[in-house]
Amino acid sequence: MTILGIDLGTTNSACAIWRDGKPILIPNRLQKMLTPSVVGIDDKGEIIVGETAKHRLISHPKQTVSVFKRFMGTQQSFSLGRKDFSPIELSALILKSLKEDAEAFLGEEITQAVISVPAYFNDIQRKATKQAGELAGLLVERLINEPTAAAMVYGLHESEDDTAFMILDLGGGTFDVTLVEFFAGVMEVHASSGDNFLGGEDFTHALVERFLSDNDLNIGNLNAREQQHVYGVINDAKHALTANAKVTVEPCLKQQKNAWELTRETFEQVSMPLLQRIRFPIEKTLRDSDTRPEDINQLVLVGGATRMQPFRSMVTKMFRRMPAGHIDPDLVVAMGTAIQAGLKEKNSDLDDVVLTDVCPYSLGTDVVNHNDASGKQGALFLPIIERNCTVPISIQKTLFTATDNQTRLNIGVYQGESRLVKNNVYLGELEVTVPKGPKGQESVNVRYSYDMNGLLEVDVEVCSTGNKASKTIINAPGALEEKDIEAAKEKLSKLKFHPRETEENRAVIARAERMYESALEDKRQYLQELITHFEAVLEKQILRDIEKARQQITERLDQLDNDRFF
Amino acid sequence: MTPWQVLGIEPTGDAKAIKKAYAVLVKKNKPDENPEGFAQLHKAYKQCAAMAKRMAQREEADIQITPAEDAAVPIDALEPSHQQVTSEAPTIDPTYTEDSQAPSTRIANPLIDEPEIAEEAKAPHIHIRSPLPDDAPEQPAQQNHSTAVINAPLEELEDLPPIDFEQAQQELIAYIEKALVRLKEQDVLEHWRFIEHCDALYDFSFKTGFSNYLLEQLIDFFANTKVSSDRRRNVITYLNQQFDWLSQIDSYEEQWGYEAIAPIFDVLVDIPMVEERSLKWVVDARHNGPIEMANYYARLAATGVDLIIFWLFASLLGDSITFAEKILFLPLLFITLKACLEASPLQGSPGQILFGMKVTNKKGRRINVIQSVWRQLMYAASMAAFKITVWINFFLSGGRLLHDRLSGTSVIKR
Repeated sequence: MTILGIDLGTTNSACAIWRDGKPILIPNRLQKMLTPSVVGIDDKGEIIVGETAKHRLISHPKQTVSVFKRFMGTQQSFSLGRKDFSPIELSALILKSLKEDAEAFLGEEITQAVISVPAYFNDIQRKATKQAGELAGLLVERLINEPTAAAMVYGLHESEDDTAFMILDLGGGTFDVTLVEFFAGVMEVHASSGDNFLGGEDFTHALVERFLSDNDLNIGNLNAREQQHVYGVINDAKHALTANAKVTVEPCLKQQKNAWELTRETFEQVSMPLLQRIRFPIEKTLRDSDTRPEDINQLVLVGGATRMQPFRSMVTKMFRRMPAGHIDPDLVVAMGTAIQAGLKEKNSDLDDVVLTDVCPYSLGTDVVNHNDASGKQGALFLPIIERNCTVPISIQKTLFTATDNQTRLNIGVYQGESRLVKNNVYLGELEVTVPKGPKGQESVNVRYSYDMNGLLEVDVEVCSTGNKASKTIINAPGALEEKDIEAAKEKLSKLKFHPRETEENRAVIARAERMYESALEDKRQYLQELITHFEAVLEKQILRDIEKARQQITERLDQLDNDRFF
Repeated sequence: MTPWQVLGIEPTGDAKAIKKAYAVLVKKNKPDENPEGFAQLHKAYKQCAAMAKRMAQREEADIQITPAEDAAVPIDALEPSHQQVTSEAPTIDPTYTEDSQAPSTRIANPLIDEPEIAEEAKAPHIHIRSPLPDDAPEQPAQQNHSTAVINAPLEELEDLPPIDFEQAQQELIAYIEKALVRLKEQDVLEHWRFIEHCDALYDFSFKTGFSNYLLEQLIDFFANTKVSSDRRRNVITYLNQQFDWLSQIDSYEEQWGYEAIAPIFDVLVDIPMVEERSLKWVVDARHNGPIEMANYYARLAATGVDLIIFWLFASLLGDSITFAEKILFLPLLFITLKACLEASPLQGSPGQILFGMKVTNKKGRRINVIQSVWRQLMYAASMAAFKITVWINFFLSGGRLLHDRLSGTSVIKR
């Protein structure tokens, strides 16, 4: 039984399997390894996923959604045309698409998967990811932290023993720092830290702001389509800046009169505040693990955004050496999930590798704050499982009643690092009844158990009566209840999907349409002709002709794309 | 069972041997197959590793005695003045660093071919640590540090200009002095921006040392100088953005005690949470965080807004009803429409949402329709005798008005 390894990313997703002792990446229907995490719906009500949908972000912004992973575990809903979707359902659509690609590639049905999540995902978000897998018809065997997955790839590649890695994972929307040690077939994660709301998109955003202010434009005066368009153009310019020292953005809006020049210096200047924020989790990880930068043997970069030159130069300055990057930072996590899948399949090649992971945040409960006379601070946070403890872990603490004749004890479950409960994330609560008595007489044992999948279970036992309450954190907003899952399954099963076979043609048209949106008068004419011509060929339904026409139009589009900068 | 017995080895200072023993056992107690066995094993492993580390440090310290004694003369001589460094006079620092540098150069030299690298390698530790209160025992670590850097691939460092940490430190100290003087008179963050342009601060150890030093200087400064609270807040908030002090509060508290660091952290701890930018219509059925009662005047204003909206609503009916009927229509709208709104996931009428408040029960949860209608009836009743209720409400403390109390509800901040 093959287990599929899936990197469900904010901007891009990818999948891989473990075969013949190494991870094999699975190409999607467009023969690409990366599938953009974008979902759209077309005029016929058919669902489109990936590259095609990504192009349509600009031409059909109201029928397309992206970056929904940031909202996993929240109640945010996204509208696609007339239908509303939760982040879980949208993720399920991506997973489903990947699953189909893998099934077509392998020629067998796939029902099990290992999915990667950012180390910083909390219990609710992890549960939501598992549910997305379930909706896509995949039993999620294991959730693996993205940096851990990346480390596994490097750990297995470098046979060298006793190596300390620092993994810097700057994705589209999240930043994770993890310190991993690899020795004698043991991969031990030491410390993990990160920023949930910091990624490559923030850099694009900063550049867009700079672009708008340089051109005396106001984001409020642009309509949704123009905004999407500007983001697309600036994002491409940002990518082009990796290979070139200077990029010139031709006028892409009616309001933009002159070409805009973007240099690496400007980019570095614009990124300053973001780079500052990137340094904190790195420093925190070093502090938490009591490690000096010199003790780290390898710097591993993960995520497409680590290609950005300001990021690289900052890392080089911090560590005074170049990071390792011989594996594509976009694909390394997917390869890691495949290794984990191989571990799960008990493939003999990986029998020797043991992986230990940490809980990346503190988990605890609220306790009375006696020093808080003003009521400003609120309850104090009592950590039960401390940050960076190796998992699985189970810790018990005893808590006492706080007032006389208290009959009920409410145990709030929180996650976070603040001393004050109000600054931490609420995960759920339990209530137990205790016998009456003076304060401090009655006590409860609270046990937190955190498993390898990052799921938390809380048990409370009243010492005197043996009354018990237990909870795997539920009633969390954003995660689905059983009946909701059924309803969502039903809803997804009713959706029509765009047929796989014609996907390539579809992607080409979407791309041409996207370029049409952004082009100016003269080029529009040309693009219009290209599209009409290609559609005419499609209608004739002669496979050979279609293939040829597709190749031609792709070449012309490539040509046009190259003309956009410089 | 001692942790050594769990690992099945004799007590040792050899970290490699401990790892090896652990690696063998962990394969028989995999975390996903035998969680309890693994947890026990891992705990033992950590304990042994910590003990080994301490042992190694002690041994290293013993070996270091001879060279350290060389260095001890100038350091001891400077010890008193060094104490002053931390509290008052940063100017003494350069002397200290220069002197203490001498022995370490001697240690490092035989190990290093390229003198330039040697400069770099030893520099961070000496300089950075110098402003710290208890850096004298740090000497052994210094040698470690220089050897570690030698291992780094040299050819890859070529692009980077070497950092003169000594000079950087002197500059930074001078900048701080200047910025603190300015802070007495005016509130200009510009004087602190030098921090963003200092390349030496990319070095983790240097930054850690500098951050601690700066924190001490600030604590001192605020203890002796009166600065308006706004100005203090601005500077501290800015510096926290640069040095992430708040996330290290525990270790500072442990080191110095909260009393000592309170002048800085009181400001930081009270920083309000980042608020969501968009106006949130729908709220969670259960209130998260502390419950804060809505302001009395804001509530009055919200009622005003609602009255206007409902009046417009009534006006939609046009001339089909008389003015008097319209006025009677308003309470009806309150009991039906407003009651529904308050019991809905919006948990408030348009006016209440606009002024950032919501209606909940006493525990901060959403109320049901029956309670909500009852609440409106109580409101109508208390309004009927408003000349009396105005005075009752005026004297009621705790932010809950008469009709709130009668219906067991609260109006709190969203």
